Amino acid sequence: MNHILVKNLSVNYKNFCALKSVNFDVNKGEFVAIVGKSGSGKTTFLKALAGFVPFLGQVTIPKNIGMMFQNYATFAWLTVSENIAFGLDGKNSKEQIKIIDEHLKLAELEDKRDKYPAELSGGQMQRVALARSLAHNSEVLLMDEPYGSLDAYTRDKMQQWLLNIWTKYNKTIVFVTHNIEEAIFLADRVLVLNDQKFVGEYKISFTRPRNESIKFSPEFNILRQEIFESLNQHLVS
Amino acid sequence: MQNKNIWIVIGIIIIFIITALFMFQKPEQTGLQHVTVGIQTGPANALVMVAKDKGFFEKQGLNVELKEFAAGKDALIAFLGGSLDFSISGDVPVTLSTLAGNKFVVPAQVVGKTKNEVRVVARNENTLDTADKFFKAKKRKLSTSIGGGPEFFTYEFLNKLGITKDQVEIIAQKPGDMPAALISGSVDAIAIFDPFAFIAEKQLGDKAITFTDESLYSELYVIEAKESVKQDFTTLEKLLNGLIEAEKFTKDNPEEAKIIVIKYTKLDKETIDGIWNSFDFRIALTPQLLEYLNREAQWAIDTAKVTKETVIPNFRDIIFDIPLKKISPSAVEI
Amino acid sequence: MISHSGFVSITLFPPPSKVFASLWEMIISKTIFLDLRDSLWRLILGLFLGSAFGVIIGLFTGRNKIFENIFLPIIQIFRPLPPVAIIPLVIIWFGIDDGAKIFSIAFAVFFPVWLNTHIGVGRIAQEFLWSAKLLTASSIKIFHKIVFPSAIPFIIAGIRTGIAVAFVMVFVSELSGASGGLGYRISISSLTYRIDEMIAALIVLGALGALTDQLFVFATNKIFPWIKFSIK
Repeated sequence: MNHILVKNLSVNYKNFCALKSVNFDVNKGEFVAIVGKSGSGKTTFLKALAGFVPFLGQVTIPKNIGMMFQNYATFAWLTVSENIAFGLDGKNSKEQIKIIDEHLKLAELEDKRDKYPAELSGGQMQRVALARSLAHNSEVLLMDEPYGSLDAYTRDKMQQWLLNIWTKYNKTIVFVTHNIEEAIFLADRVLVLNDQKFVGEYKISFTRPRNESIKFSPEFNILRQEIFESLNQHLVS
Repeated sequence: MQNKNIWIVIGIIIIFIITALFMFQKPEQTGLQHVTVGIQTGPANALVMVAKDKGFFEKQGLNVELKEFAAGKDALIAFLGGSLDFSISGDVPVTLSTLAGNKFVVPAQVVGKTKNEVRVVARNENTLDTADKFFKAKKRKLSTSIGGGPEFFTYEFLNKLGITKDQVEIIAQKPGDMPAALISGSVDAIAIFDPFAFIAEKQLGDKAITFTDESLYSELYVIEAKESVKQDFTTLEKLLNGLIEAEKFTKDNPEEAKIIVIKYTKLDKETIDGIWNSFDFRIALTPQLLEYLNREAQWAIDTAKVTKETVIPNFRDIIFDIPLKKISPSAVEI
Repeated sequence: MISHSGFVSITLFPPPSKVFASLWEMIISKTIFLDLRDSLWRLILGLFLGSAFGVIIGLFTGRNKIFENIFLPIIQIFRPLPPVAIIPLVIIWFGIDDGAKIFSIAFAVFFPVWLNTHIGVGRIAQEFLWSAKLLTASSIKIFHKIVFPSAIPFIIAGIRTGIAVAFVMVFVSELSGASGGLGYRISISSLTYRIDEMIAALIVLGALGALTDQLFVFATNKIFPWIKFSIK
């Protein structure tokens, strides 16, 4: 059953068209990655799903969404525990403490509860952002190149950690990236966004749990090649 | 992008050139000797304004440039700092600056005497119709101009009444701000010279009451010159000659003199008419000047304006009477 | 050394020894403490009122178009006016009491604080607002926990400018009628040719200004510990 359904979605800004009548669907608990070059409309697509930009067409999505950004992931003036607690409206303090503790453990940041985001590494900040959305019980996670500014080693660690979380919580994830390798490694399906349209869809059949070694397999390379070509295809329309 | 940068550089160069042209304009060569005189643009300097306006200085070969200040003491400070050839101020700034060790001479007064030129204007409280009653009724706020004749007058005035420091709060204000402060009721009284005293009286009408004491003190206005004039007073002599001609003119043509003063001070005719007779417009050196300087020196010591160790100089030494004695011997009464 | 050489007038340029002797004299006679007391409380109140109004109005004009359209034209008319120029008007309307001085100081402090607050709340990163809107439905919570805190570095910068302005204004306002205070002391010292005393009082005023600014920075770092990370 579709958890997210998008029909004929178009987004037009003053001077240009950011998305041209795209269609999209995601099942509950599915991990979908969208790859595209800068300016292809990936971020606009997520903003439209979240309802942050006006659009034409139809978007059906649960109300309880979490969103993660590459920059401004966490609130700089709140500590780690305060960040996690931000979405806990309506819970009494005892419940809040329990949830915070749980998610600090999940994020492996128990010893950083009173630290400010500026005192954390990039990877730690992204873990706080995700923990915050999970604490809020978001059903859908929209992630806009969250690991874009991390070094390769941290990025690999964060990918593994994300997969562990996803496996445990079974959230629906739409993950935007320009890194093809990352998309293949994480997702059940990879969609290619080019020139404001989806131009390709690739089912990823590597079994789970996945580890780093699949990145060196021939099947992985073939997929990477195909997606790369799809991305760089010059569309004549 | 490079084109844009070139245009910005050209624009900056043009601005510099225009600024330089304005700044370094050569003054008109008139063949006259240029001197600068700092004055407060007040009626007390009538003779200076008349001399300038009627060309009496030019007749003497002087191109006198008047530099205007909010108060005579500001003109004196500028003179001491070297920016002026001469300045004109009240007698109190002369005392205080001499006590502070500044060196200059006083060759003449521009007023022979004044009458009630400094006085206390207060808010009328009907039954309190004397200064004694007014100031002893309760603690008053009295505003005055610090470092000048009004402050000295205030001190002598309150002393004579037997009012002590804790019975009155003395507020320091600029003369121009005082009428407004009195009218708004922020102060109970002001002690100041004309035209501000007159302005306050006029604005308040019956709501004002004036307290005077002629016997105490009435400000004199003097010229300050550099000590170097003792060696060569040619320029000073020309200045004094111009002023003496202005004195004759003012005596013979008071109405025209008033018009000139109105032009310079921007005060209205009613105000000038009202205060004209407080001034004896005369170039002179009177014994009263010496008396005031000495009394003021004592006041400065008593009120800790100067350190206790300060020695009162012989003020006769700063009075340089030779040029005036040469031009108009009867004017030197010391 | 320069003073004693005779190159400049010793009365107009007193040597440091004379200045410190005057300062010592002012300390012994306690005049400096009385002057400090008079000036300080005018300054603190004026600074507080100007900042409070600046922040409150800035929070509204920075986030709400209606408020912006109403207040901005009025503020922009008054902003270029030199605060010194309004002193004569202040005397007429409010007199020369402490209330008038505090008003003058607050008036001058208001503008830099307002401007920085207005800009600060207007410049908040969209990502913060989007994240917050997904996590809570309470717009009050968003304002309180997201909009206001994100503007704090700007507000602090505005208040630090306000502190400098307040010191100028306390001096200027005391020139228009006072019987005590550091500005008063500086003014009457120059009027009575006590340049040594004037410089001594100026030193105290300057030192007080520097100390106030540093105290403010210290206090803000304590109240908002995360600030030191944001100001790199």
